[in-house]
Order: sequence, then structure tokens, then C-alpha cells
Amino acid sequence: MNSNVTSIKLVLLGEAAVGKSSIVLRFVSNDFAENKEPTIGAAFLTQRVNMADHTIKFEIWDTAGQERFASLAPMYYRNAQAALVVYDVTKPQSFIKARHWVKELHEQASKGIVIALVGNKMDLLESEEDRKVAKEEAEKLSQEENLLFFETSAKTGDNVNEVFLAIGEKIPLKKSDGSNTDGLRGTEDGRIDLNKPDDTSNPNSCGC
Amino acid sequence: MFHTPPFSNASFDTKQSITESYRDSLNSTISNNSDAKKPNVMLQTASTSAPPSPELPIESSESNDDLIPIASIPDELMKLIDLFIDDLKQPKYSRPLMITQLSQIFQRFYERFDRSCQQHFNALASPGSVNVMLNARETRNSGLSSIFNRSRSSSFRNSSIRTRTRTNSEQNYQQLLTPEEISHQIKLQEANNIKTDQIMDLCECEIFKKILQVGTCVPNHPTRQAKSTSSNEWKMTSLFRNNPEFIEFDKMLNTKLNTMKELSSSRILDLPAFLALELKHKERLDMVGLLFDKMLHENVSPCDKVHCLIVLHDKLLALDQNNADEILPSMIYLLITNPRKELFLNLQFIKLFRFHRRLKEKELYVTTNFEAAISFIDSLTTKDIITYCQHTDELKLPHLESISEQVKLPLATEESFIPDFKRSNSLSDLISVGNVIDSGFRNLMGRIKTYTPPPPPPPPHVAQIQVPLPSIEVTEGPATDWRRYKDYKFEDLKVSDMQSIFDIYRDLANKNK
Repeated sequence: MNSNVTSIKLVLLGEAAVGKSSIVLRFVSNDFAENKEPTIGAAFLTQRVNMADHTIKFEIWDTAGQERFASLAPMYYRNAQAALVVYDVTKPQSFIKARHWVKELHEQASKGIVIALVGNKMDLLESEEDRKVAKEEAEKLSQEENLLFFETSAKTGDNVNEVFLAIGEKIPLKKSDGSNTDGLRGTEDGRIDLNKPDDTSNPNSCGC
Repeated sequence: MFHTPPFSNASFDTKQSITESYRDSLNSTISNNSDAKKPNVMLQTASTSAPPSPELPIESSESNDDLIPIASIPDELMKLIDLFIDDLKQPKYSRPLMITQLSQIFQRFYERFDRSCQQHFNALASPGSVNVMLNARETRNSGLSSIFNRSRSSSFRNSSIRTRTRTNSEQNYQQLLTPEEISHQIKLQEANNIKTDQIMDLCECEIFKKILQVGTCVPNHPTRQAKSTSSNEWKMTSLFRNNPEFIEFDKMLNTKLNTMKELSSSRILDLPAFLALELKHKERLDMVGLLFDKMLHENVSPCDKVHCLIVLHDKLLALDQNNADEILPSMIYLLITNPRKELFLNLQFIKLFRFHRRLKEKELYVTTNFEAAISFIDSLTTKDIITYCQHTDELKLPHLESISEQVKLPLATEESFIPDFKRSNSLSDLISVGNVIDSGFRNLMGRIKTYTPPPPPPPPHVAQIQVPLPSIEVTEGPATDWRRYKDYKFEDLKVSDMQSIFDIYRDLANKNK
């Protein structure tokens, strides 16, 4: 067991029924339920991932995707270090909503938040005609907005772990002395505080 | 992909990569999937209630099966709680405390108590020695490298403090801890942290249990105190009495909830449709709503209340294998169909008086859900519900407005509260005030002394300068004067008074000779 644990608050955003909870269930318990009836309810889950000498503990906050609750989202993504913005590759409307979420996160969430754009339900694409959101379009958005981008299938498990691993790699981890590689300070409970100023970037400070 | 420490990657501590060089056996990363193309990582479930998939190499990292739950607070720690309660009852503030100030006082106490707990358990774990590694409660994240670092440079922090490293004074070198010792220390530290967390929860319960017994009034309000102690019921509102806006907000929320319930029960408003909620098990959902009563009336401490919220959350999840798309609307539905007083105050009570460091993970999530549900109801207006209402042509809908636009709540301030306006009757405080006044007079006298007046004009035109000096009475004979200080208190005497008392004493003494 690795005792060097960093907790990461990760929030799931996206339209209702795009598969947010299914992605989490697949990641946490390698489970999937066909008819929207997961074996366990999922709203808050944790999962530890060992990466080299470090353990990342994902604290995953699921949110309600209905439009009328969108105004409540800031309560959930407050102090989040990472966000998964999920859309359904067969529903163009869900991609439009995903764009809005990305914009809102950049404007209102913590400054260094790591955002992953996830196109889910790849298993539904039996032919290219079934796809309603072009991969190129999503890639373009992710390049413009500096996002991680994956296309996944919670049903088959394709790419699900990769999403979280990529987030884990991109999060500035804390060093053993309490600081981290990007000069951000870890909090007392092992979190990375994205809002703390980066002292090392001060050009006037001496480098010793 | 993660077999070797990628020291070129900025995400990783390069120092660690070198010290832990290529310890594949330790970090043997195992995929959770049989697909060989998957990145190799070890996944560990932590708090899920689902049985782990057999394909996953799962390690229960947070299980402490050998740890016995702590049932009571040790006596020496209990004394701290008693002192805190005594201190709270002291009439030492010149103005009534706002709820946020009171919260800060509680949070500061929790922090101190937490440290005391840690020291208590450290002392028990290693009697007779001071353990640097265990002193600071930072162990969950310190890791192996930090222990190595400390082992090597104990003098760098405080040379007077002994470390766990073995020191050979003759050869003047320190041996590093063995992996077994490090593992033991980490285990010990984690066990201590868990014990401390348990004690902290007990501490919260104990504090509010005691407040329930002694009331929330300071002793110089006997009538209010008598009133509060006569009814053996926890009054949430008594904590918020200095912030009536919170109470006002709560009342308005309750009114709004009742209005919504009436609209829903009279079938004017299609509540499930409005909330996009599919009501499959209405009766069971209503049963879950009864938990609000438990939270409001049976639980006293913020810790208990938040645990009740967790139970409510879990029951909602279990009800219909719900997910987050349904949890929030279910919660709002419950609030509307079970309108209760003090829901908002309870939320604020949890946010303000739960130990902030313990309000995390699932506790924070369920509290946020509860807050989001209340916030949703707060912001509801007639315009929002009108499309889900029937007979709107015949009936006039009640006017619903956002509560937070009508009642302004104080913003949570980052500024720490320092109670500097003390009400005090202590002698030392009075003497210090007297000293300030005296020094003020001395300063004034000094200025007058240094002032050189112009040459005196001719006698008929003397303009007397009126200087507002402190009245120094001309002393009469000691026989007539010695009584004039009889009503004085010692604290009221100035230096000049003491001088004259001394003179009187000397005269009397001389006379008696």
C-alpha cells in the first residue's frame, strides 16, 4: 500500500442520461447495468489509483444533469480539482450542453481545474451514421479549450480507466515536503489547492 | 505505462523517482481489466458499498479491522471540553456574538482539541518519549520519503526533540529506520488519526449535550437562562438569536414550502413533472421523509445531524437504485412534501458548527445536496412553476419570490474573529486603564512645564490663562484631610492621591510619636 495519498475532488457534469453515473460505476466497481438500473446507486464514490510512488484518491461527485438544476452546479464544482464533462456521441444536443459546461468551468471553477471532455456510448455506434457528434469536432474543442479528450463506452469499459489515469497524470501532485511540482501547495488533508498563488513563479524571488 | 517512475514527467516528484528507483515489485501495477492494452494501474475501492469485481486487484486501504471503536472521551480530554463550556458561559464580550463569530470560536476549539487528542494518543503509543513523527497530524500524506527526510535531518527542525531514529553518539551517525519500522510507524499514525477522528465526533456530541444542559445564556441573564433550562429541548434558534436574518430566512422558507405543498396536494402543481422525477415508490419515499424529523428533533450535535443526512441519502439511493440525476429532485420533493421548520437553520448549524476538517468527502457531498435542495426552493418563483400548473386561468397563483433577494444573510468572512472588546471587571485591567489616564495627565503636565510664558504684562491688565488641569485640591491639615479618602477604592487612587495618603500617614505617625 502506498501511503503518499493525494485526494482529488472530481465532479461529473453533463446532460441527463449521457452515462455519467455509468462511467463512474465502470471505473469504481467495473460494473454496468443495461436498463438504467445500476446495481448500486451512485452519487458520491471514491476510488484509489496507484501511480508509481503515489496514490491518487478520486472523490467523485456526481451531479443531476437536468437543465433546471444547472444553476446549482457551482455548489458541486466548488474547489474541484478535476471535472468530467460527458456527452453522448449519439446526441448532438448533449455536446452543445457540454460546450456550455466547459465555458462555465473556465469562467467560474478553480483556476487550474483539469477538465476532461468525454464522448460516451461508443458502443451504440454500429455504423458511422449512428454517430451524431464528429470526433474531429470534439477534438477541436478540446484543443481550443485545453481539455483532455476521450471517447468511451461505459458499457464495454473502453477508455474509461484511461480518462481517470490521464486526469491523475495531469493533476499537479504534491511532493513529500508538502509542496508539489508546480509550486502549488497541498492542503492538510492531502488535497491540491488550485487557488493558492504560485510562489515559485515570482520573478523577484531568489531561486535558492 | 506506469511501471517505472517517469522522472521526466513534471507530474511526478523527481526526487522520489531517484530515491525509490525502479521498485517495480512495490509498485507492481496491475490492470483492472484483462485487456493487455490497458494502462497498468492498481485500483482500490475505498468507500463503495458494491462488492468489488473479482477481476480487480482490490486492496482495502482504509480498513482498520483491528481498531476498536472508542466509546468515550478520556478524562483528561473531557476536562478541556468542560473548560470550553465554562469559558463560553463567561460574560466577557461587550457585544453579543454573531453566529459566524461563535462558529469561529468553536472551530478554534476543535482545532486545539484535535491537537490535544493527537498528543494524547502519541503519548499512549510511545510513553516516555516525544515522537516528532507523530506530533504533527500530517501523516496521511507524508509518505515514506518524508519519514526518510526527517530521519536524516532531525536537528534541522528542533535539535532538542528526539526522533525515532536511533542515534549512536559514539560514532555520531544516525541509522535510518528499517522498512518494517517505517511500516509500523505509518500504521500507528493512521490508527491514531482514526482514533482522533472518533474522539472529535464524540467531542462534538459532548459539547452540544453539555450546552443542552447548561443553556445558551450567560449567567447575568437569569430570566432567559431559567427559561432555556426549563424546557429540556434543544433550541436551535437560540444560537441564531443574535442573527435574526437567519431566523427570518428560515420562516420564509417554511412558508414557501407550505405553499408549494398546498399547490401540490391540491393538484394545481404537478410536482413530480416539475422536478422531472419519476415517482415509482411514493409511499417508501414518504417514509424516508420522516428522517427529517429525526435530524431536526432527535439529534443534537452537528455530527449527528450530518450522519442523519447520510442515512437519508443512502436510503434515497437504495430506494430505487437512484443516481445523481434523481437524488437531488428526490430530496427537493421530500422537502416540499414534508415541510418542516428549522430546515435552513439546521443546514447552517451543520455548516458552522461541524468541525470543518471532518466535513469532507461524503459528509460534504450530502450536505451540499441538502444545501442545493434548499437553494433550489429559495430561488423558485411563480414564473418557474406556472407551466406545470393547472387551472391557472381560474385560480390566482400565490406570489413566490426568491427568499435570498428579500433576506440578506451575512457573508462568510475569512477574517478571523479576535474578541478584543472585552467586558472586564478585573483589577489588572482597571489598573492598566488608570495608568493610561495617568500617563495622559503627566504628558499634559509636561507640556505645560516646558511652555515658557511671555513676560508678564503690567498688573492691571493680567489675562489669566485658564488651563484645564486636573483639579488638584490643596491639602489641608492631616487632621481634617484624612477622612476624605475613606470612600475611595484602591483602584480609583491616582499617584497624587497615594502621595497625599502617604503624607497623611507620615503626619499621623509623627503626631503619635
